[in-house]
Amino acid sequence: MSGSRGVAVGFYGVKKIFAKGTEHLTVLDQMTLQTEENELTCIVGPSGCGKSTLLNLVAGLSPVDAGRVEFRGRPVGSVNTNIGYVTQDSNLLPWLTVLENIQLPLDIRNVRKTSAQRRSLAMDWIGQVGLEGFERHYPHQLSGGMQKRVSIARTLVYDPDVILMDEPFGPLDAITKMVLQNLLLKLWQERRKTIIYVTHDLTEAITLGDRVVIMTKRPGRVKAVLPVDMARPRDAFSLSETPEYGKIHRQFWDLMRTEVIEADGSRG
Amino acid sequence: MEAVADHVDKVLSVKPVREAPSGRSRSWTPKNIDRAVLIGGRVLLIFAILALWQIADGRFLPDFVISSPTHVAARLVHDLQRRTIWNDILVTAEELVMGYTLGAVIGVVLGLLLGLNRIVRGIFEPVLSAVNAIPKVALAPLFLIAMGLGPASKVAIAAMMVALLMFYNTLGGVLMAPRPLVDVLRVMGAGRGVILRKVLLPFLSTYIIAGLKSSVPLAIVGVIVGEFIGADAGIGFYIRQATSLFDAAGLFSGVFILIVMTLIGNGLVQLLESRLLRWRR
Repeated sequence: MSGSRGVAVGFYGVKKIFAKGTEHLTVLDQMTLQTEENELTCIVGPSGCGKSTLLNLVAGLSPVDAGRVEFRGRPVGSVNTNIGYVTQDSNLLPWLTVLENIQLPLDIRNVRKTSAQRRSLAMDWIGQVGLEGFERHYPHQLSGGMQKRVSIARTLVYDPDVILMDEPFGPLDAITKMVLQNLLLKLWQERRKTIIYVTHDLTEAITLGDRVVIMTKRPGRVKAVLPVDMARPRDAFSLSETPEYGKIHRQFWDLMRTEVIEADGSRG
Repeated sequence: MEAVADHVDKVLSVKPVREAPSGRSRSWTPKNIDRAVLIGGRVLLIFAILALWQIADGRFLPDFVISSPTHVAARLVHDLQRRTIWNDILVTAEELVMGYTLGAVIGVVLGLLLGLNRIVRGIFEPVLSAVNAIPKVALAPLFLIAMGLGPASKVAIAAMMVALLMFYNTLGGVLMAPRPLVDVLRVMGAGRGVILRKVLLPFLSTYIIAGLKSSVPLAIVGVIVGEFIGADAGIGFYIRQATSLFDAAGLFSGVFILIVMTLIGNGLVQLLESRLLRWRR
């Protein structure tokens, strides 16, 4: 984690407003943040603070209302195909098998020459996420955790420059969540891809992140950017037992607590 | 052994295969008894209805009104040995297939066009809603005046009825298209063509199949109504002739043929469904 390797994604004075009937809801205001290349940046904040919106802006799926979003120094205009996006719901195509789902982006992007090569690359990733034997299953035949594995493999398989993850493990049970956090840690350790990971769970942010960005309640801004000084490789199962973890968690939580409480109080 | 398999199933939450091998055995398991009661009950019900019908004939209602199962059966056997009924069957079947197919294609294409283009939808929708509000059967005589007594008018009536249904089903599907799936593919770099092929059409297959199912009886209504109003061949024509002769046995044997045609149509759609919607179960 030495020095800056360049800015992967930059937000500069970003404002985002959602029209809700006749009402207008300012979700992000004066949001400025830079995330580094080859780092796993976790963004945490109270619900409704615009965390997920940030990712949609980077993906080019929705435009800013003021300010600008830059991807590797260039403003994001239309849909950003240099990223991989692991959304909150697995969003697998229900009519395709596990193998077909993972091979789909390779076919779309024409990665490698032949269909057989693409297929073998997809098979390789099925192994990496531990889904051997389920190639021919359809998504509805899989558990939530297995669907997540497919969703992750489908994104990593085409080796995008930057990966956006939007609370991917949110709805899973605690054990499955830790198992998949460990899988993600292992995959990240091997590749050190740039990942921007949005979560409302501070524990998860500290477990995974090189840096944790704490956001204010709505309209979201950056409250603090804090480095996580904990050695890698990390283990999601035992990390929270270490004394450093406790110290970091207390320090971060002090910053976050006021935002969470105020966000809760301001809700009708 | 079974407990372990059960546990693995649960852990992997894989749905068990529908027909367990044990289902083939003839033992009196509760499941098999339920099944026997079900089938036995159905057969009994049909026999009861037929028996009632047989008893009622000539006793509670005159024969020229309700005929009887034995008369109808005899009539059907007799009819099926004659060349003319096969010609009627063929004419009606052709009108059905053509009207159904034409209507389905027009309906799906219109639904896609209007669903994917907001301006086109804005222009056409009011007119289509107005047409849909008319009882379609009331328009049938119009088609006969315009297209004559031949099969063309029947094809047109059936096609109109099927097309409107398929149109609304397809349009409803397009408007329900899952935005997140489309976005996921756009980020992967997919263009409009890929999104249409990989997301929209598979998604719509559910809606289209549902439409095709309801369209089978609808097409039959269209064709038969057309043949009632004016025709020189077809099962509808046959039924109408029998009616004008107070020949209830003939009427019922015509109806029976229509039931068989409906069943064949349903079977074909079911076959298509099991092929297209394999991913659902």
